[in-house]
Amino acid sequence: MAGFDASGIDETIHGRLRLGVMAYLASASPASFTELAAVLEATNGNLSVHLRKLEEAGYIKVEKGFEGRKPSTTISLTETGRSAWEIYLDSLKPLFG
Amino acid sequence: MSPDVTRDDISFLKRVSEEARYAPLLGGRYLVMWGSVVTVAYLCQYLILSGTLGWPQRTILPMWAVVMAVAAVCMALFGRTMARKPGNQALSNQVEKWVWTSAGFGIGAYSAGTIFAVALSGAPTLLFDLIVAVALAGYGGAFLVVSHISGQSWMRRPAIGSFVGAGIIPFYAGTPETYLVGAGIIFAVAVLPGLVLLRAEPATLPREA
Repeated sequence: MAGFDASGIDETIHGRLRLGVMAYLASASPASFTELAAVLEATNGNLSVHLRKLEEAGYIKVEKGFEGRKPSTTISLTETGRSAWEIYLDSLKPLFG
Repeated sequence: MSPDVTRDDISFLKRVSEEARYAPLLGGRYLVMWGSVVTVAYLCQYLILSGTLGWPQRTILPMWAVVMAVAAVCMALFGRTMARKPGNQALSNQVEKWVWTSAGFGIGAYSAGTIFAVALSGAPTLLFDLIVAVALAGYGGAFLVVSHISGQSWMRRPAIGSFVGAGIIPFYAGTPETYLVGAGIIFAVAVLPGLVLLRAEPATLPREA
């Protein structure tokens, strides 16, 4: 594992569910909250917690609106988030040779 | 972190990435709708031009106006149903949406130009028949791009069918059969692939609680 620097791993992304959110949004942004919950097989509460961490880091943007009378939440990857995702993937490359 | 956990996480990540990258295509209803209305319109045009219906040729333009109005209503209704489809914003679906929109604009521009050229500057009416070929060329390009981006290799068949159709149409140009042949080709390269996509389409997501 020469060249791999564990301290270079972005801890905000490095968690199973947050990793899933970033991986999905990297190719399918924006996505609805229900779409993310279904794809990631996550409960609403758990997903909300992890989305908040990513939002606080500026990696995603969460927009709340209404579809008729029902709430509708849309999550999109920000430019900062896309850069962080690319850096994260680069930092893992030495692990895979 | 044990190797099993790592393997499980990597397979989870791989699945999520692939679901985003290769999200099921959502354009089936559009293909079925446009394919159906154009097939019906071409059949009507054939029946008018061949004298089978006994209607004057001036009824062709209003007939197309009705067809386009029906298509516009369907497009408006479809727009509402797509918002809660999973993968709506995935790369493959965005490419599908924009490549077909581009094809539509191209066909529309040629059609509008032909109508004005014939009406205002006496261009030959044969140009109308070539709209079918232009449309099929647009379909072929759209299918080929979407096939490549989405990894749906079966879509190369309607792409090839469309290109072959675009090459066949000029042989019939100037005869009513242009529209009979065109209707058959459009049905085969738009309605049938559209039905295949519709069958594979994921269910609409529930509304947020």
